[in-house]
Amino acid sequence: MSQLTEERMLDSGEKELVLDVRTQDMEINMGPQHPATHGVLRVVLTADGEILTSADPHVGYIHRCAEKVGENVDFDGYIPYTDRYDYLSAMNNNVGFALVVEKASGLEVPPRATWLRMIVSELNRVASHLLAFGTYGIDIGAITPFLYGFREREWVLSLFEKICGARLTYSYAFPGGVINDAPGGWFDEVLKFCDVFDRKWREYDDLLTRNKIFIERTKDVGSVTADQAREFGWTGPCLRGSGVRYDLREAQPYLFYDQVGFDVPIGRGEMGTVGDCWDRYWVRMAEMLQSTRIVRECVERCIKDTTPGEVMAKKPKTLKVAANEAYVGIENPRGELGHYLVTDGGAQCFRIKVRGPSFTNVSCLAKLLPGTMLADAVAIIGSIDIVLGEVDR
Amino acid sequence: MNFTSTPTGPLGLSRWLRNIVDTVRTTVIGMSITIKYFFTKPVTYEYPEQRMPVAPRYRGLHYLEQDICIACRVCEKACPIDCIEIRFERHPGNVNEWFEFSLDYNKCMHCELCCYPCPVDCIHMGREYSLVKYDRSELIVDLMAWDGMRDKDHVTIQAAIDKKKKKAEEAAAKKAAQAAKAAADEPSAEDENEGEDEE
Ligand code: SF4
Ligand code: SF4
Repeated sequence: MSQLTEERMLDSGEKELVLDVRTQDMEINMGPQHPATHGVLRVVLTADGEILTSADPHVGYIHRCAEKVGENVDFDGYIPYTDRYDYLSAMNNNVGFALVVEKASGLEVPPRATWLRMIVSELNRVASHLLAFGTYGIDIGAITPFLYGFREREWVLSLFEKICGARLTYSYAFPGGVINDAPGGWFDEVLKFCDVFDRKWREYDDLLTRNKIFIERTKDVGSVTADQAREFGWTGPCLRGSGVRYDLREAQPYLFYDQVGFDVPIGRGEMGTVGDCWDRYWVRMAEMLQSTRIVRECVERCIKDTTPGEVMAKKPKTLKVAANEAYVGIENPRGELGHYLVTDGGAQCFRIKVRGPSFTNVSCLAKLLPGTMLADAVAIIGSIDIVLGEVDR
Repeated sequence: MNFTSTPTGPLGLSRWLRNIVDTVRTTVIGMSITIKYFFTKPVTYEYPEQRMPVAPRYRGLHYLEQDICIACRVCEKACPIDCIEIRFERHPGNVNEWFEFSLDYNKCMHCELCCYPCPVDCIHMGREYSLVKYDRSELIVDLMAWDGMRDKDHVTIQAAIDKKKKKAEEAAAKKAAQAAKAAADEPSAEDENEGEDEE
């Protein structure tokens, strides 16, 4: 930057001093190896001093042809691949794909399997939001919440390990039901987790949510109005953070969500404007409490209404689905995860299209980042809570 | 579209003081929580020395009960990424001479899909999870408990071969006897004998 002072004659005959501050736009590559992008996202930022003038997200670094693979493996064999698009909410992905195959084929699912699916989906939502909470703290500069969030998340993962044997890629829900019934004592531990978690949640609230520094970093940053959020095609906590009450569990109930009671938290602009980073973050926090509420009710109904052991429908060894098409959208921790399935009578999908929430949510960056400060870019990307495995698929 | 950035309003003295007070207050609240955990037991494990206990259903490395495996290749077909390789030769007496039953852990994703359809329930996922190797080629693990054939199998094969030989000899002797008989008797008896032969 060079400073020159120049004297210029105006038309009126007066002299004017012109301060010539020449600034140069700087191009910054954020990612693909950046800890705050939660994966391999590359955002090409152009900064004029501290203010961003343009942002260009580049995605696709870990594209694995998940949809194409679905045309080559049978329906059961595709379930492990669904684990891998949004690896933080693999249970929800399994359930989403299982539901669409069941809708296309007309398989009847035993009620116990449905309750178990709901329990694991909601526990998975807690685990996923805990990770979002922890990493968002790290993005903003607070390391401790991450450690506490992971402590509880590990407990959820241990619960999953007990029921299905894996800690990250579960492959638990299959078309027709779930693979294993809950082992002895599992429900008690789930209830215990819910109780302990509700207590710990208050800790997170004191530690991060109400922390003045955190609030200053996130309030009024990256505000998105309800209309803008709809225009972006946002779903999930991002959309609800902007004050739109839209939750697929409530709007188009799947599984038994119409039989349980829960609230849909929406952003109210408690700290600043509606739809700022703090609102999006807060919606996630509030959702975790609703999830434990749903889990408690599901456990109760599951024990009361169903017989143990009936978790898988009778189905042929190789499931074949007559020519049909179906769409099922479910509420993933990040938004609407839709599966569109076309079958042609074979044992594989003729075509499977996945509508991923992260992919839609990340597309706003080019519109949302220009005009904000460079330091806020991290806060905004973190608040959208994307998983790049699902963006690239 | 217009998005709000950090607002730059006037920073009055009262607001300035309030900010400081709030920051100190909330930080102290946070610190008190962290201090509390200073006196509790850690929840982490010192990994290589201590190992986390895993659940009974844990999907770790496979193990194969080779003596009941019937080499039907169902598991090989069920695997979505073809990481099981089975090579064997079937000998008389229904004995399999094993050449290979290997699992490529470069590819395996521990989905357990190979274990469900096994008709005799002999491939399982164990609780071992450490797969630290110096080279990728070492990740192709042979699950066989023994190579090729055991002494017992040789005996079985030998017995099967002997049995077959004996049967063949008996049949030949019978046939010779029949031929001799047929030469002496009328043709109608031959039909009956043929029927017996088939049995
Ligand atoms: S666990 Fe899955 S990937 Fe591994 S061998 Fe079995 S079927 Fe294949
Ligand atoms: S399915 Fe079972 S019996 Fe058949 S080859 Fe595999 S391990 Fe052996």
